[in-house]
Amino acid sequence: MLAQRFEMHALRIEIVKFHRLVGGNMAGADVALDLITPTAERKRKLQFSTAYLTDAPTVVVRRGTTIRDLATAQDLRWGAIRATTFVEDIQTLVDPDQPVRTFDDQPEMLAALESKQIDAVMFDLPLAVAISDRSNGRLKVAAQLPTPEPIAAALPKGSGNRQAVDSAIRAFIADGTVDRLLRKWVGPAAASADKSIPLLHTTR
Amino acid sequence: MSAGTPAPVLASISVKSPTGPAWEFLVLFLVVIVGPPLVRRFRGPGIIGLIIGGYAIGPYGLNLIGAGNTTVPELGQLGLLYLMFVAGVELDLALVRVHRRAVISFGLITFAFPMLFGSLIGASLSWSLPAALLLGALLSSHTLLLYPTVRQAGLSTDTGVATAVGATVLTDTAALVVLAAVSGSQLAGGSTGSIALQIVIGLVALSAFSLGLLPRLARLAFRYLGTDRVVRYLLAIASFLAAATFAESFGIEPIVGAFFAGLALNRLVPNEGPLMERIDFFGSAVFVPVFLVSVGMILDPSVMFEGETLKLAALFIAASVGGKVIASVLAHVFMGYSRPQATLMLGLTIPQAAATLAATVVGFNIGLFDQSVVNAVLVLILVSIVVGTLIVERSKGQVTVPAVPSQAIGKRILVAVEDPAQARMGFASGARIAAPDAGVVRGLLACSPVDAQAAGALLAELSAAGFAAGVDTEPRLMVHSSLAEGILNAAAGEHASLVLIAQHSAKTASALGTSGEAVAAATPVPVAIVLGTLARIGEVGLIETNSRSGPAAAAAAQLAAELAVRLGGPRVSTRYERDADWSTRLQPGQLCVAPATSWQLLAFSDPPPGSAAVIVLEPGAPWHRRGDALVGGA
Repeated sequence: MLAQRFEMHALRIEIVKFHRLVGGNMAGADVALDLITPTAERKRKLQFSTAYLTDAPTVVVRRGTTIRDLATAQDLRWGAIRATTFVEDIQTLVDPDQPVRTFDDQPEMLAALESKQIDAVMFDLPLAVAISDRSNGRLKVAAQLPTPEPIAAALPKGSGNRQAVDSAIRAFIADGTVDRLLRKWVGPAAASADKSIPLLHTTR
Repeated sequence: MSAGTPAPVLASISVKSPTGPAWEFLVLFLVVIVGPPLVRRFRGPGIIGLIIGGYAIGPYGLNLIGAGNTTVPELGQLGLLYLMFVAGVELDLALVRVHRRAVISFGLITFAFPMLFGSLIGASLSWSLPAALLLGALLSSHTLLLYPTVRQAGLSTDTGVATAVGATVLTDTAALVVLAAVSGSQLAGGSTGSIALQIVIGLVALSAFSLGLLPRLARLAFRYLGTDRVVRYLLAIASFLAAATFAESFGIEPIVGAFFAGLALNRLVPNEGPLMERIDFFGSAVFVPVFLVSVGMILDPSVMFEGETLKLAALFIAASVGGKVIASVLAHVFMGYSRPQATLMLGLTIPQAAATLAATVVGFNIGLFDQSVVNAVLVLILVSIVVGTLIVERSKGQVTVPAVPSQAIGKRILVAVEDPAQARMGFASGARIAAPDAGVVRGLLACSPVDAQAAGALLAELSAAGFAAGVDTEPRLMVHSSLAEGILNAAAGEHASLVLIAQHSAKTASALGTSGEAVAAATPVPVAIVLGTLARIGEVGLIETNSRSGPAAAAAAQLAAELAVRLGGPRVSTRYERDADWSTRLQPGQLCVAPATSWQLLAFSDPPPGSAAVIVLEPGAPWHRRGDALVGGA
């Protein structure tokens, strides 16, 4: 959609691991999209567009695991993708009894969850709902945290494209493009899931 | 307790850094409190203090309210709707009616030139057509920020000022229609033809809803639910939110709906009435400042002082101010306004704030404008306010203050009663007479010093009678030994345009009738007596009587005719009555208006139950009691 708006004739896509991306390595790309939350630390290495989503960190567990309250959550073994804000979210908001395990990517972490090496993982809400929907009932969304986080596109530090990307994102939000993309790629359930997922009362 | 105990206790106390809604609202309201006076100390406009304050606490400043915060921007959006609603409700539509030709001519030219220049600038910068048109629209509107200054100088009735004020209705409406079309074309999918059809249907539906249905619903709601002032205020809020929602459902920007709702409620919410006071209070205390702070939060200084931003700002200023200058020069050359008048009109129409900011924020939110444009518009707003202020300050002393400010008959109506039970008919008549002028109806309870003890309950009863007639009034108590003098003082103090003395029967309170004459004789304010009981004003007649010749009788007859039309609309029947006791022959359901040469002739002519009469007294009528000190010299 961005390429169309900017009337680009060619588009090259680079795949970069999340922790490298937020470390400032964009592999020469002009814009990066990976459900990235702009944080003060990341802003030192990248610049960010206006937010295109604001979603709560959401907990995914195996079927059969329940999170009734914070104490139950603290008893679980937690996992998160390396360098995501979820690592700190789990440590500070949930404060589990055991250290948080970090993973390089999503498949690795989900495999650990399904093989019972860990009990709970955290994603942004749309992705959490999509993962749960595609797991054929093996995984489920258990709770959302009461601290929604903005999600934005990243650009290389000093890029002159920020205003144009900002305008494009605002236009996509206003004309419903973001919502349509969310429904198409994550599923219609994700668009309104925030109202049905229980809230976990955290340490703050 | 040992001396060493406090240290471990203190060590166990943890203080968190402030977060959460309470902290955010605190920061927000501190900016609202501190920002404007701080900037005013440096002779700057307060609005700039709010915008700079918004920047200071926002993501590009101290980041006290971060980029992910949704509360302040959402409250800001509500403030924007509120701002547009107030802009519509405050407009003096009576002025537009009186000077409609000049208003339309000046409105068109003061809109057209900046619109043209703005669109050309957009096109020359290779912007898309919608973005260029929206730029033209936002440069062509203006905000009457300096009208209070001009009004204080006694120039509100000057024809040039009235024309500039009236032209605001046209420029703002036209700008918002362009905004509706542009945003509709961006947000609605489909072909150009279907989008155009959607927008046209949307605007027609919105006009029908806002200007046709909404005032009727609001009038009914005010009458049946609005006996509580809080409910009346909430009904006003609900009205603009309903219109905004309605507009949005047709793909039109909600601010257009809010503005239309303001126009719709314009007559129901008089500018000097208690409801308008409340709307203004909450608007200026909370909603509008929060909107301006939320605008400041998107201000990015790293963009503001870029060459690109400053270049855009210079172009915008040239287009907007240049267009307004051409319009005022044309007004001087072709419309007969004097040079000082035209200069004052220029000063009034240069400042940009509400509609400009509203259109800019919408353009930004739908991705038509980037941050450079927003920042350039903020520079334009600042410059336009400063330039406008300088021009108005310089030119207001050069315009001759109109000798006798004329006041429309319905602008400020005083309903005077001795007994609240008599008031309903007075209020109902007052409301109808005031409606065409968007005037206010005020209640006045006259009582003797002896009866003043029970006045609290009587005032509440009078207020309830007002609500029952659809009038929101905070009635005043008038304790006076001479009723006539009391009413006279109140009429002068309130700058009344008409005094209505309401009573059920002339027989039971003939003294009031005599006082009515005394008042009529001694005050330049027209006086009428409302007699009788009538559940609902339906059939209205005008009675022509054997009036004496002379200017006083002619004035009373003319006023009676005017009041009859206002009370009954176009279906007023006129008949001639030779005898003074015509009112005794009224049929139930009838209301008749007549001029009277003497109250005493009518003193024993009560209308039958279920009918009413409005007797217009001759100004300066000589029939009065010699004992009344007020009307001495007979």
